[in-house]
Amino acid sequence: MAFKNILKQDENKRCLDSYGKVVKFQEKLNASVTMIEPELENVIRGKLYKIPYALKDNISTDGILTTACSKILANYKPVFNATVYDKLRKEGAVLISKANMDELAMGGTNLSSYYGKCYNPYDLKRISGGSSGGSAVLVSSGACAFSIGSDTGDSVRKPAGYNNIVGVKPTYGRISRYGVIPYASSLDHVAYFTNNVKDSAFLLEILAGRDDKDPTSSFENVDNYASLLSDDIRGKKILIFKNVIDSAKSDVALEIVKHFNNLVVELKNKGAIVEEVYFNNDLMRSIFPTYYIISNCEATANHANLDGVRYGSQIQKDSFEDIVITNRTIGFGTNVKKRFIIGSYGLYEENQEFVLKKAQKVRRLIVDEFLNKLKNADAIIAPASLSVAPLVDDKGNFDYSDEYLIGENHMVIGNFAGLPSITVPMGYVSNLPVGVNITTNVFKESTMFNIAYAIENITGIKDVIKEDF
Amino acid sequence: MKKEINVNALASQIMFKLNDEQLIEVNQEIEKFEKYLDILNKIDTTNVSEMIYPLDEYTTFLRDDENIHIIERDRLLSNSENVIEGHLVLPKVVK
Repeated sequence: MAFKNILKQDENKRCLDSYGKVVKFQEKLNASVTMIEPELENVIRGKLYKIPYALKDNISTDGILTTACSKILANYKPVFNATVYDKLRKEGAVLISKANMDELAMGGTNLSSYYGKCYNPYDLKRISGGSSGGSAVLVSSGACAFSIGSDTGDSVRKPAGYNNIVGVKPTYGRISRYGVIPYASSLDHVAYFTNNVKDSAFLLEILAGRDDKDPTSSFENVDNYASLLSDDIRGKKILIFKNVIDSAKSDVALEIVKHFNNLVVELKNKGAIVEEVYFNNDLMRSIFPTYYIISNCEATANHANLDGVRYGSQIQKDSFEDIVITNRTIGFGTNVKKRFIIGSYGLYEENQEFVLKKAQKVRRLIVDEFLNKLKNADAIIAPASLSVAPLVDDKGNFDYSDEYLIGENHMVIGNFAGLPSITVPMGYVSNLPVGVNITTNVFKESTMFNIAYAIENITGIKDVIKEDF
Repeated sequence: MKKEINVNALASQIMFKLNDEQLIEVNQEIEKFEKYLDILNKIDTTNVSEMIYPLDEYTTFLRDDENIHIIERDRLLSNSENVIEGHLVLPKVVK
């Protein structure tokens, strides 16, 4: 629900109502892994006073279970808060849910959670998207006014499209990652969902800023994004990511492109200078393979600390080695094990040159190719996905076509280069929502919000709540 | 340059075991992985340096040697079920 609407409601009632929805929707959506009865006493009267929200379950909350939806952390209660959680507490926001996610954020479906699948309120037979699926669904169903997720490939921006809401991944280092259980450190971003662009702009003012506890967080000044918000895009140079458009072959993809082309006409009518841009297609086909290798290698190293000794599952055995092997064997799901195997292979010294280092070199080429065009423009846009939310039982549309490798994975470039990137609703295909993605140059969040705001005003799709499921 | 991948050796190295079903899935995953390597190998990366981080912005520095953030030992150990006098208890390594 939009902040302006929720703020009109009684302060305590809105939190209790929100919590009631989280509980009520759980049976159908399975969006939460810990439901938190709202604490309404001693709430700081800040900018988000008594606005109910959810945190993805990889964000540390002192004394509250933080499992990252992995069995190995099923009993883990952090003894400190993530900076992002502290910031929201200081502004009076009220936490009501720790949200479902893919195990250790390693996935794009929310099908790999130890706590079960998360479902899409637009069609309960379909996935929420992931890895921040629970966070997305809690906003689209109206249970929460906003939610926090994390985005390593497109884990907020893709589910935003599937759920008809706004998903924001700002510049790398813009929001502190202290206390967020990592996936792949050179790609991980804290990201978030809202029901409209204005709330997104407002929220970033609160979430952003330097944090000495996260050495990768930026010193860059935080703008007043909300007060700078304008849909005047006259003279703005917007590039169309033509490789994505050209990769569309299936009926659904072509229907999504039709929506996109209509939007482009409207952007031109509003005075934007729109140009098509075509990147080296072999490089674009390499986006997902590059991501797959880098993320798995970094994840394998990051999660070596999950040994079942200091925290998490602690099955006792006769030797240290047996303790670790037993806890990791039982504690990790199949999807995570698959990725760790690949990561481990890539990290072996004798393999690094042709696996990890090769991917890191291709990453540089992809980023250089992309920035070479983007640096002379304000933004680049494309459909967030060339599909609607897949069916839960779908074995996946994975293949080696351009439609999959480019059309479904192009947003990863935002993580490779640390660029600010937002997905907003674009329309409906077979009554299912589809989104459009806007990416800008580093720390140009204000430009990103303005173009997104213009698109929101063109489509008229905002503050849509889907609670009749 | 591809090499044969010994899945069980890799699993052992990173300290977990795979059941038969998982082993099948991992082998399917390796087929994907090899195709991904083929795609990457089409790209000429001669004289290209690895990109390790997204931004060149300098955000780390040596700060003053002050305690700005402390988590008490007892709290740190509170998630462990087997603690004696401030130490994690493990089976004897040397017998």
